[in-house]
Amino acid sequence: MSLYYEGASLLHRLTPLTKIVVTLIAISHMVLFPQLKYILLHLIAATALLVTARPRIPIRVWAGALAVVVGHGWINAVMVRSGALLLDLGWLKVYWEGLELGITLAARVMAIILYSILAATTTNPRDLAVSIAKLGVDYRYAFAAYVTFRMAPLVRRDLENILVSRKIRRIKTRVNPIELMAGILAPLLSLVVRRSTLLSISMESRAFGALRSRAYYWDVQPGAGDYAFLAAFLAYLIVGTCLLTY
Amino acid sequence: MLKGISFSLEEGEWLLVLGPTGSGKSTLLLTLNGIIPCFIPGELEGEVRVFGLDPAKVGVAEMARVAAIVLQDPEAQVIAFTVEEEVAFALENLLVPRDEGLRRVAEALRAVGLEGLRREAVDTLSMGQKQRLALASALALRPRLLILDEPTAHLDPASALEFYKVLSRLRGETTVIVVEHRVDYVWEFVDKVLLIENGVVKYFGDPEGLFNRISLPYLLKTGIWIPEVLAGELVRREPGELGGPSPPSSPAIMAKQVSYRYPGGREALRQVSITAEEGRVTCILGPNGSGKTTLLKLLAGILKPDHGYVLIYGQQPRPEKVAYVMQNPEHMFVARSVLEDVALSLKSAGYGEGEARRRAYSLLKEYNLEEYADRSPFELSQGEKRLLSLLLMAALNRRVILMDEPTFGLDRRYAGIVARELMKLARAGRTVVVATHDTWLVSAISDKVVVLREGRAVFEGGVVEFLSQPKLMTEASFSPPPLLEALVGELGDLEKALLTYKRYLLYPGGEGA
Repeated sequence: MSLYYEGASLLHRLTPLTKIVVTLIAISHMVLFPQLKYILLHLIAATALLVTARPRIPIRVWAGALAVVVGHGWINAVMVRSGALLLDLGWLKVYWEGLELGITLAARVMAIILYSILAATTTNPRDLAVSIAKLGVDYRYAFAAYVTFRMAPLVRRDLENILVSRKIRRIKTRVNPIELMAGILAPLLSLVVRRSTLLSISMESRAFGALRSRAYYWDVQPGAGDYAFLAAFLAYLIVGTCLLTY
Repeated sequence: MLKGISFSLEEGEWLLVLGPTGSGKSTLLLTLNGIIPCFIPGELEGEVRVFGLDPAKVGVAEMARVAAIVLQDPEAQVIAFTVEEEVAFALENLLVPRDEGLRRVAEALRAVGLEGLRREAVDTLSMGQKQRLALASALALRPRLLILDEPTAHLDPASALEFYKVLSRLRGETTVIVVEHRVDYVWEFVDKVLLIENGVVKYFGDPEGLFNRISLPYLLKTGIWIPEVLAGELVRREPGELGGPSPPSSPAIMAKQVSYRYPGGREALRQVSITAEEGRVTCILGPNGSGKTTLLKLLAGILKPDHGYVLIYGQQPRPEKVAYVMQNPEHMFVARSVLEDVALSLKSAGYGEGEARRRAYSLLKEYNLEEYADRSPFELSQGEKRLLSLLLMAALNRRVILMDEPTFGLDRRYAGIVARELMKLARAGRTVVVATHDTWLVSAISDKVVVLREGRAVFEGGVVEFLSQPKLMTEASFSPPPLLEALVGELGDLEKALLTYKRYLLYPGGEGA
């Protein structure tokens, strides 16, 4: 179910809200201080948390993240067409300024991805739903996100089976879009609709959404640890920013 | 779907709803807790009262206080991440105070034997445990009416028996309405039977009265499953010729010391070595989670073994070289119409456009599906979908056919057709390997049995040899079909009993092979 796994690390013990707030603070800080030296602060913080929490991140997630970071950085690097020339292949020119920009943007994306992965792997989707509901959002919408996490692996399995079936039947994937729609999306959609209907029946018949509010037996309240973590993170950013600026 | 259905039950009575695929059984169940028409819109006429409440008027939530439902697929109904959260879900929705709620969670988990797994992640449970969890979620509501829609369809026989053993403790206290294909497991508990055909009640009354009022041949013709031990008169008919397997040949499939671990997950198979011969049906048995589907995928070349190797006719397995019928037929449909879909398989087998369409139509006729030729495959009933998925693979004309739970959830008529087609394919020289939980299917069609347990092959041999070893059957979570046991007692010979049983299962109308 989603990327979450059970654990007792520092990050596991924090409420989802704390992790959301920390991520938002980090992103805002990177927008206000976009230079590479400030972004390194976040990469150091995220790496330290990564070492502490040791999340079980699938290789495909790392591979995806790396592809995004490298792709994003590289595209931005080659877009810059002025300054000191670093590499000239005729059809491709890379400038020092471009490389610097590319590395900075790649580092920023990497930091955001790391923070997000840390939050996703250490946050029980249910706790996230409860936290969102506690913020005053209708619990039906909050749980909708939770149920999406629940459905995601099942839908992925359906898609894998559909693709395997096409392989067995030697049905070529180089087809026109309409055929592709009929062959892959139609069965997938049909399965998703059926799964959603069954899950909805299961939820409705257990009185989900019947009353305006619901009880939470495992409440998610920020504790002293959350406030301490938030304060430490803010202090780290303030001190780090000051040291790097002055 | 339903036309003028009338019946009533006393509190504490158990009702078994029988009927062929598409007869309206599930529709009836969903009207009893208000899902129809409150959630799934429909035109509802007449009167429904459940403990004095009109489900359509009071709504699903209010009905949840008196009626709970357990659906067929344990995975489709799980909502929460951990066991206790799942059981507490409905109680939280109904604002049951925390202390009382947690007490009820503990009671419900104790009742289904999952108290030790309270804090476990739901995803780590076996299918049998997940279905018991679904039952616990229902029981925590303390319902006066428990509605069960084929609750054991995904379970191995031992887990299914365990499920009803747990449930039997509610007899006399809770009213239960159950739709169940494996009628033998539940027959002894039910007080009333409701038979529906095409949305119309054909019978409502005591279980014994069903066979007095409606003849056995008619019941078999409707396609419903009936308790095997009550079908005695049919098995004593003059035997027809079934046609035995071809003489043993060299293995078409060979798996040697095969191990497989899912990425980041558990070891699904450990040093499994098996063979499957041409012209024979090999059944792979084992409890939920024993590695049956993984083994099939390795034989198909969909997965690659971590250790060991698989050979299909001396070559590495490749998905393009085998026919693999998946558990969910909808994964296999690609075209807009049934005819086009079959024609696509035939084209893959080397037929030209025109010839493929002509042959597709004649194959549809052979499978009695010609009337659906122009319909979308997704519009068919579950039984028809399953039959079509088999046809799609048979049309590929491959030497090896692998099937995952080919008869799961099917009524007797469609299950019989699928079983006969598998026998036909094997007798035509194909190598057929089937992973199944259906004990009747194993007894009816298998020439050879492979038993998996916790990822290891613990038995490989003939079906007679397998059925003569009670300890092995227990290890495989297999309980022999009641009729087969009765026949063994009567005839005193397992092989003769098996032949008679096959004849009854595959040709109940006496049409012969």
